[in-house]
Amino acid sequence: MSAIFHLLKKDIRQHKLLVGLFLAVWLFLLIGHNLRIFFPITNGIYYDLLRYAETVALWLFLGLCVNLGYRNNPFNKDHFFATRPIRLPAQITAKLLLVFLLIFTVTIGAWLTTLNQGLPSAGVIRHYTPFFFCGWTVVMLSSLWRTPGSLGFGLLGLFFIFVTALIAVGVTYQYLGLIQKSLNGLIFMPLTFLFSSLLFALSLRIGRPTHPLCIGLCFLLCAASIAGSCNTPARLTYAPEGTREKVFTDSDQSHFWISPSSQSQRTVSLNAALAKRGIAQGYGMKTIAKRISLTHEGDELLKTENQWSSDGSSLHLNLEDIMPFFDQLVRPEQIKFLPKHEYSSRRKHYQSIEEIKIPDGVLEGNLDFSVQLSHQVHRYERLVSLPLKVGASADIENKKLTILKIEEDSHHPDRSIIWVKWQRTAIESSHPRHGNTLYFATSETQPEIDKLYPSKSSQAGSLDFNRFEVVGLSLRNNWRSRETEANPRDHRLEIFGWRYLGIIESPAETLTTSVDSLFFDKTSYSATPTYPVHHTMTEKRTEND
Amino acid sequence: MSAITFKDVSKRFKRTDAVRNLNMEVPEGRITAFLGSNGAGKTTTIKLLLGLHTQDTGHINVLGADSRKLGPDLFRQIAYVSENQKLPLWMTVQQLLDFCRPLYNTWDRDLEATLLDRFELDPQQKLKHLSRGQQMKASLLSNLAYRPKLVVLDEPFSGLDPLVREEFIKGLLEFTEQEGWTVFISSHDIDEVERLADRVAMIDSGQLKLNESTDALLNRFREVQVPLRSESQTPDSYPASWLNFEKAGRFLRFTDSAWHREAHMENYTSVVSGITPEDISIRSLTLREIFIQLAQHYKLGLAAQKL
Repeated sequence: MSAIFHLLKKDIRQHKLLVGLFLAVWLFLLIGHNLRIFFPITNGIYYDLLRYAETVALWLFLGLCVNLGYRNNPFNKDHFFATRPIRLPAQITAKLLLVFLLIFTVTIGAWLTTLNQGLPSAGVIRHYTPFFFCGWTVVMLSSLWRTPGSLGFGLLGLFFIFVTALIAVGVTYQYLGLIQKSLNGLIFMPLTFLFSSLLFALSLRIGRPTHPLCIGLCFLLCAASIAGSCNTPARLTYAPEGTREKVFTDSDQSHFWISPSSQSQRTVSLNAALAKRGIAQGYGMKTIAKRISLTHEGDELLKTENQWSSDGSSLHLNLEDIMPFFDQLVRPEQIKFLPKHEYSSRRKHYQSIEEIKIPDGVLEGNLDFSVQLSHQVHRYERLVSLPLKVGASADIENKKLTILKIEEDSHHPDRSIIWVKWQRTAIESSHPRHGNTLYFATSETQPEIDKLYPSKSSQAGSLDFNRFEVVGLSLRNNWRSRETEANPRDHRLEIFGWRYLGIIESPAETLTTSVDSLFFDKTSYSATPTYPVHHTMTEKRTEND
Repeated sequence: MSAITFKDVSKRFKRTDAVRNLNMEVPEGRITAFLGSNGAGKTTTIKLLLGLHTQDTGHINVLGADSRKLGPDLFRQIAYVSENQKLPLWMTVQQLLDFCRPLYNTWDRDLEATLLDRFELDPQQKLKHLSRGQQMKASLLSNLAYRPKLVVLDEPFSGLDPLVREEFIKGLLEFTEQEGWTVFISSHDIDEVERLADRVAMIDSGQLKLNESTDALLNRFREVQVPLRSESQTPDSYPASWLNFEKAGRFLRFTDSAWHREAHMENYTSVVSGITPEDISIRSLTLREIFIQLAQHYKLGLAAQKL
């Protein structure tokens, strides 16, 4: 034990410059955070400075860990201490202890700060634990090199190996469907450290620190750990006073919905009007969010561009999707660690984002959340309609379509399966072409063309027999009621064949709503904003057609 | 009793055989000089015996233990000073001593003070601000102050001024005598080694060429010069122990590596006809000269092998 402290003293003395710089930056951060208790500082530069200081502290910490691992490491046989009576475990333990002490000091500072600010401090340890495991990992990996050149090139090489492994593992995760599995990220950092230690031990055993086998194996494992860690949704962000009470008490508020019912209604009436006029065309509308931004008193604070598409006429933005955007608002002065909150949705367990942080200065004015939307109108052409009964047939482009069988799906009670025979009269290409894709729907689903079911086997001319499913509660009810009748000859239901014609995209429009109503106001969930549908353009195109 | 025993030790670095089938014993309580030209395998041998490298084959016994398993207990009895060693330059001399002191239970503070005084080192000066010679002195000081049983020195005179060398040699001889230290020293400063060493081992191209007491070595090597009266006197063949045999003008010159007081004249007169013992000039060689003669001989032999 005394040997460890003797070596620890030596290590502190050896790295006093980096240790001193790190502690100086940390002291600056500590004072900066605690200054807010006495002075209500709203200057953005002040917070930016604290953020930069955090970045500097992180790099200093990593630099210190690299240096700590590399200096006097057991693979460098030429250093003076290589032939001193010092046990290897004591050498390593002293280095790891120094990293632990530094992170411990930082954690104590952060903990006291949260206490001073009257904030819950339970999450502080959880927040800083990965840092010391990360430091330990860096120390172990840096201990594998003999010369500064090999260290530099080695770390560079390892970086590329690591990134490649990370991508490979990420792809594998996706392939195996492990993405979004709710795993505790805190498990992964110790695992990564464990793998680094394994690499170190293996290298010692083999006597060759850069043995490709060691490097390959252990970095793959490290990458698997970190990929798993990254896979877990972010948990630690900050929130202003009282946020916990306001947000996420109801799990439904983890979702932000734009539900433009008026849009659907307009689409329905548009299709109905066209049908009356004998125009065999159908239209489905999708809403796309292209850009989201946050404005404060007219000034754009943050923006991000992506493509969040809806699966129907309503736009559903999951909070987890847009949360990285809000994470950018995190500022060091607002430390609040909130407990984990889990909720269940559609039988899947997700780990929700627990905390949101909005800068104090920003909270003084109106903070608006804007979504730039555009609408995609999907156009279809009706080719055929036939009554939904066994034996009904119709000609479609020199081919005869016959309904062979109608049955209920035993696995899905709200689903019916319609078997059709598709007789070809001429040899056609079996390769599906977009324009030839046929969509089938019952008359009940016709007004909501977005829900037309595109059967995989409905490519024109590709198969003789087709099977497609019709989803819809109304159909099931009607079907069942029909089945109960003695003579099932109800011809009210029809099946329609539609051909997809393509997309018309509307000009973008912006929807703005207050962040308060977005996250804090419970009524905002139902009182969704409405906006005009650009059906005038659609109508124009229709008339031209 | 041997402090160090090498048995069939070989070490290969990629395509280079650094050490080949080395069999050697370093007797306890003696100073053994380990000589060889650059790249002969001296430093590798030293690193093998300290466990800094691992031999491919063979066995090395150091103070009764396997060199691959040297632990803190044995390192407390071994001193190692090398010109290649990277000192903790960020430390002051005092900090170096303060760091080393608790690691050794046999640390002698009086000896530390004596050596500090003798080497004229400023304890408050950082090692990085010292000259190379002074750094070597600091290293020696930190290694000798715990009175080790085995002292391994790899080029210890490098950078030391003549006065310090003198003091160092005196001190080493004194301590070896008093404490019974075993010293294994590798150096290019053969003149200094000659004064120190009880035994001499020589390595060339990774192979041990000789290992014997200094006195015996000095006794068996002689430079012989024989005057020639005519061209016909040049011998067609000569004993293998005659090294670097050459004809220089009207003289035949060679180094006899198996010189013997009683038998030599008879050998010479039988090989070179028509000469009398009075014509032959014989001169004893210094260790340095022997080393050069042997090094040239090995070099020529290697060249002949290549041819």
